[in-house]
Amino acid sequence: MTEALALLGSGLALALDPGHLLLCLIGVTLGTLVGVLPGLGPVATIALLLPITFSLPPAGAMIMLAGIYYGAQYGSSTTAILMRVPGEASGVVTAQEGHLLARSGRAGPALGIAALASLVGGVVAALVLAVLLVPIARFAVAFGPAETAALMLLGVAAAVALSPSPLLAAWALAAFGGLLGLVGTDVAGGRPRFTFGVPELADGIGFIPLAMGLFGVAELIRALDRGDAERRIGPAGSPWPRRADLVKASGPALRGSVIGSAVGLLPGASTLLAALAAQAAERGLFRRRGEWGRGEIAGVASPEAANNAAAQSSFAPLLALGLPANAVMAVLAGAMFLQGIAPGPAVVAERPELIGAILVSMLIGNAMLVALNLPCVGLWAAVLRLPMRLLAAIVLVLCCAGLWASTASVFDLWLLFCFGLLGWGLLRSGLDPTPVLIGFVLAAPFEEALRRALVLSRGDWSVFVTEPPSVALLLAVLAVTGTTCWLRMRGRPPAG
Amino acid sequence: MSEPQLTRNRIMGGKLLASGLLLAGLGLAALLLASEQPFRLPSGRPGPGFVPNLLAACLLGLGLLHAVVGRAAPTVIGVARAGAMLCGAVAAFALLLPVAGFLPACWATGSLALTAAPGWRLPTLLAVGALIATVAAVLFVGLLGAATPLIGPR
Repeated sequence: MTEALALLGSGLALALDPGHLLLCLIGVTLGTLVGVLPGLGPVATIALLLPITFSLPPAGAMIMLAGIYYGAQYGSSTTAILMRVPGEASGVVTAQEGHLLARSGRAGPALGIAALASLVGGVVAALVLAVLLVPIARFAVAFGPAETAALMLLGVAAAVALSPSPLLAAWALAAFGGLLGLVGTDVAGGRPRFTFGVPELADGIGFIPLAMGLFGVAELIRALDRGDAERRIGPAGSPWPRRADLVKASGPALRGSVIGSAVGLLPGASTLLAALAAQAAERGLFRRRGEWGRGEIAGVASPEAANNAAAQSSFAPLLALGLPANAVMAVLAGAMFLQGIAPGPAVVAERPELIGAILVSMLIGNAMLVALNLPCVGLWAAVLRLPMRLLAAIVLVLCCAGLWASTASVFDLWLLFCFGLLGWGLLRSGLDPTPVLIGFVLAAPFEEALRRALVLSRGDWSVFVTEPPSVALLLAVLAVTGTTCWLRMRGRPPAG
Repeated sequence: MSEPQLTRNRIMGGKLLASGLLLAGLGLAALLLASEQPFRLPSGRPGPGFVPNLLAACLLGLGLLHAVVGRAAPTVIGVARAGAMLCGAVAAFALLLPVAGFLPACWATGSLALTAAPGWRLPTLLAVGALIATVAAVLFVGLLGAATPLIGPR
């Protein structure tokens, strides 16, 4: 507990810096906006905003990008409750009971409870992070190269398990992403690899055009495909919940926060999984009470607290282990690399003020979300009436111009085009690009760890099965892959 | 099995084979390229081709397995227009920026992106595209000071 307070205290001054407070506000506002708009998710938005973070200090960049992620979880509830169309995957669960409340004329209180439950979830998860980050990082520091390589493999296995793509295709896409991540000059020997004599490729493929193309452009295409349909939105009404609603929602919000925080800590877990688990637990515990199926306030409070808590606690594998748990974390890992920071246990030990600032900003950002969302429900509902094509054109121009302004490289613009085409191709094939991104991000650290492990063991592969942590991690890889395979063969794909 | 079911199965099977063979083809190409790199260094340590060869072999094997025993993902239809126009808009920006300048590149990109959904007439598309380009120029060149000519080659 002392360590947690010290971690929070070390980041307090940085988080309360006026510039960082402004970036936090911009982050949660943008996050709410993209959460409200069905189609343009936080991965795409963070990927599209990466060029802007070049000019920001590391803490400011991370505070803003983190704000987008957890802000999007709340924004999604607005669309889910008003339209039954979730702006983010996790909103699917909120939509079930939330939209029923809206149809019975209680949209306002449902939105208010969603905001307050998100606040509870966010605060609980930030405190959980503060308590657990240092111990996890201390444990991970003891990892040798064999354990690190096995950990990276577990990260890929978890991402593949939760990908909606067929299992073999998802593993193949992760390998493809890994190969893309190895383009450029070999760090150990200085030899160019897969560069085809193109000087721009000597430093490797840029993360920004890859993330922007695979997620940004592809998400815009997907959003345009379904976003210009006529939108019918009922009046939201006053978002201030009644005292009875607050009493009824407090228990589910707290339980959802704990479940969401726990689920978010697992590598590969998603906010959707957290929301589903929280709602399932709530329905299981209190099936006979309440108005389930007719508009139950607990059906809003529980998943909303859980998805926000999971969004924040999923920072733990990234910050403490250097393991991106999902596509958003992979993009955030890329943002950290661009800032010259390698996510992992060393960051927690050497830059506690940065980690502390991110955690404190989560507490502040969640309070900002409530202040922003409760009085502005009508405004967010109005945003939903904007035509998707106009938003897509603005976003695409800003993303091309932003990429050009940050890299001044026409080659990167062509890379953006190529990865946009690839993202579109994957979209048309029904394949999820997340494994490509995870493979790309983990390729270089995996290669370094694998080669170092084999150098230290003089080429003996048994090093991976003689050290207990490495064996445990490899068994976890087999367990995750085997379970996924078994569940899919039974025709029940895992949620995620 | 009914005729529509047979047809659907044939399509899914063909799609599976195609995507699997495409992944395997990428793996084969990567394997050929990676084989140019030393797998091991003279000292016996893993060389720069070590991990690329492993990954390429995995991609080749997994692609072939996917083609033979994998399950097809659900096909997404109806995104041809949006996809072509948005990718075309990015290509237009990359093509026009070095020769015509920032403003025309943004204008073309914005206008092309607006055509991604049907329903708007050409004058409207061009006018809204010009408005978006002006805002982008003010933001990036005016406020952020991007060193690029507004009109004309670099």
